[in-house]
Amino acid sequence: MTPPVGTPSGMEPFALDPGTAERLVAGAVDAGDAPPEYRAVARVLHALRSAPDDVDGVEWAGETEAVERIAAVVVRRPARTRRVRRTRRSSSRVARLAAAAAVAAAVCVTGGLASAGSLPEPAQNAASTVLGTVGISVPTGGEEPAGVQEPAITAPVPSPAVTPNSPDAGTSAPTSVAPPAPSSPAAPGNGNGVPAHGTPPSTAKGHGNGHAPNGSPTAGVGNGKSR
Amino acid sequence: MATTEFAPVLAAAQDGAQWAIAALWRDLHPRLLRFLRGLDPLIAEDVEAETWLVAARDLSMFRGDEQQFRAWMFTIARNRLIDSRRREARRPSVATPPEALHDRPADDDPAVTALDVLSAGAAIALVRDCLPPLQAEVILLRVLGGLDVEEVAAILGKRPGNVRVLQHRGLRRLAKRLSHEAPERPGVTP
Repeated sequence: MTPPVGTPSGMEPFALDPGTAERLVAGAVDAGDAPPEYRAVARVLHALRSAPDDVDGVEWAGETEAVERIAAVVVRRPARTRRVRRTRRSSSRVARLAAAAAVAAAVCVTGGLASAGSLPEPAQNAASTVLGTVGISVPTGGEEPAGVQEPAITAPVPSPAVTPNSPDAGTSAPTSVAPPAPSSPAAPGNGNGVPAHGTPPSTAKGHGNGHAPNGSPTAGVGNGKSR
Repeated sequence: MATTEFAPVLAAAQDGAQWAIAALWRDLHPRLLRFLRGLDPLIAEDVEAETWLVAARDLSMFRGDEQQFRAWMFTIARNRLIDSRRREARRPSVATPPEALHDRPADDDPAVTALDVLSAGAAIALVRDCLPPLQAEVILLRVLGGLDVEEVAAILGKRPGNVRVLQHRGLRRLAKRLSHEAPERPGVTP
């Protein structure tokens, strides 16, 4: 493009320094004060930011409807927020109640099993330690449950009158049999109905019915159900 | 709107006060509509209405001053325009209604020649027709939104340096176009 008359040769006719560009877009330059090549631009930018007039009356059309529509959306918002919060609060309350109920049930079941001495030995030991701190006496693993008396077991004395071939075999009680302890889960006995031949009574432990087989000379040490 | 007035007006608008919403609307509605008309006159009014509804939905969560509020509104407007264009692109083409053509400047548009009495509508049409979309967007955001380079860069997802370059090229292009138009027409005041 040929430079306009009056433009020094070699100078770009539409040269624009950053400061002038900023002032133009910020509206800080009047059209009359702008560089000659940018006066028309300054007028265009001024028209862009001009207040709406009759020519642009369409810009104000529907103000009332628009504001009412916007206000309806804005007003609806807090109500929905409250409802969401309430739902969250009630659901978290249900979750807390369920968790508390589960913990209470677990404590009851574990406590019952621990007081019965039915837990596995490590768990029993742990339960004994924990409950002992709050004053509840629970047997440790390998110990008889609290409140159950150690049965007076005496070593069986073989009766010379009773032999395996004796006609009384399997029908008569041994000479010295521990008193029955029907409710003792730790009642001695191997639990399989196998007689504890020669086993010291204190170590003959087991759970279950401990049915001694018929014909056993000693009848074992069971839970009183030996037949 | 004076800056000192803005905070109570915004708080009242967030509570749903119609007078406050009307104040915000009067301040921003012409700017938003002009901005959108400068980018896409056919869907500008629909997009502008959608912009206000989106803003109303999230108004209670807005925190900031007047300048930030303006930047927020223009960001919403631009995003709604992009969404609208995507929706339109998926639809089959629709013939332009004749009444929409009144926004398009003719070759002998008096708005171009009589710059002294240039209306806002004619100025928008001039910017839209003379400049590539990105340059037009930068000029319109800076002039109509009153946003600085950094705010425009954040809205467009560009670096401030890119925005300055786009603004500079846009102004030069506009000046060249207007200098071309002016001498050809008698009675033009450049």
